[in-house]
Amino acid sequence: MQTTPNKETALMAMAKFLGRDVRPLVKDPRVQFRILVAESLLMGCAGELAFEDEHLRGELERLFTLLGEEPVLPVSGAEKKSAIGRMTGTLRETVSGADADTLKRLQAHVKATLHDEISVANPRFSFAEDI
Amino acid sequence: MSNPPAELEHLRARVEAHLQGAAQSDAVVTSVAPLAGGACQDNFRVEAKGIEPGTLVLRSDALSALPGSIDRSREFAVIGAAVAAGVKTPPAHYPARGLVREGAHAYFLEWASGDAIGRKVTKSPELAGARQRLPEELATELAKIHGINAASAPELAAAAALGPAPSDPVASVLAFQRQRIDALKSPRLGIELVHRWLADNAPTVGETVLLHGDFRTGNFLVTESGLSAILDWEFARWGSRYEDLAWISMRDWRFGVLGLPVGGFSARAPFYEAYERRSGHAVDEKLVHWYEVLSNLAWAIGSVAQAERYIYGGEEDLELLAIGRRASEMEWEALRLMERGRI
Repeated sequence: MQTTPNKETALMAMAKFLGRDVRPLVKDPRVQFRILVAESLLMGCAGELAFEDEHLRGELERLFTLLGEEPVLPVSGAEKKSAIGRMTGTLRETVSGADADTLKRLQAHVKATLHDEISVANPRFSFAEDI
Repeated sequence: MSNPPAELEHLRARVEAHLQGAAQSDAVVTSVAPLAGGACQDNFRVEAKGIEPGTLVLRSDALSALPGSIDRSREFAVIGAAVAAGVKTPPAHYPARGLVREGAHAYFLEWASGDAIGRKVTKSPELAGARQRLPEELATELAKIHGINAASAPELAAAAALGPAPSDPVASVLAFQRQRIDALKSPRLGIELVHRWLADNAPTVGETVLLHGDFRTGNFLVTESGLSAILDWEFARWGSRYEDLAWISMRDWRFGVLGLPVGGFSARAPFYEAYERRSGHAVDEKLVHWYEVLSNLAWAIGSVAQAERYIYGGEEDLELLAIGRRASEMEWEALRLMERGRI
């Protein structure tokens, strides 16, 4: 896919249009609020797309390690997501019987994944450990 | 919910007929307008003549609800008990069924003034004086709420209201959260890990009291004079007082003011000290920590569930989707608190 502008640029443009051109014209505070929500969703999706490949790869690599599987990276984004869903489901089922070390490793993996998710969805989020 | 003008005019006529019957009045409803805010219920501002007070909030069950949300009929009973205990909350009147939507319970609240919007309550310069008074005022109201239990308000322990109080509030809340996790169509590994930690570190808490259930910035009204009213009782239930004490300090309810852990407007000490004075109950910060982890778990599950109301529940409110995408923030915070080991 070499469509120009790409999806991230198009989503960001829509977000800017909503915030700059549409929201000031709307009088109803309920609709104004929803425009703000739409704007924020579009920006979050744009950020997610921009880093998707890097984040999916990182998550997959951690999952292969946790499950002791051969690290064969799927090619397409859809395949990567499907593999992540399968492996995460397997890990979820181990949680109730996991020992302390395993829980610690799972926790580190989840925190790394959450860090990736949140840093693009909400760039203002503070990751400070001592707040 | 979108409300085309014709639909609002039909609702206005139904509301007028209901108020005339329920209040035995000649009420004339001059307007019914949807209220902004609130992702869980359908709320309308009602202006009426020939009835006192003439400004009311019509609150009706939404199309779908979060698990743990009580219907408006039960909420009406809870508000009655709170008002009887002297809690600063608008009295509820004229219960109805099928007024807004077929089968949906509804009632009318007396209008109360003030701001509930989180960023205004925590940041508006006009409310700076009010913020100084909030720890004492909120602690006072919370102590009154927690003064209600199944023995003092047996009508609330009836099946038609909240049902019987659990004998073990910790086991009960863990089982409830387990049920909510199992009901998710998009389960998450972080949520599982937090629930496991809570079960492994479960404290012993004996006493069960009435909980507001969503006691936090955004659910009370503030004017320049201070606290005006406690709102939104839809998650009222029996449980440990620590659920409410911790919920108000959950990171998400600080509205970005992370350094003021009580609702984004106060340090912990003034609030806990006021609560201790008003309730006669010493606040144990270890229990607050456990319950704050629980709060983040509950809201992480709630956030996913809100998105599922959009995806599977037929509710086309964009805010529900946006809330769902933030579940990861609550998971992060729960994991951070678990690792830190204290509030």
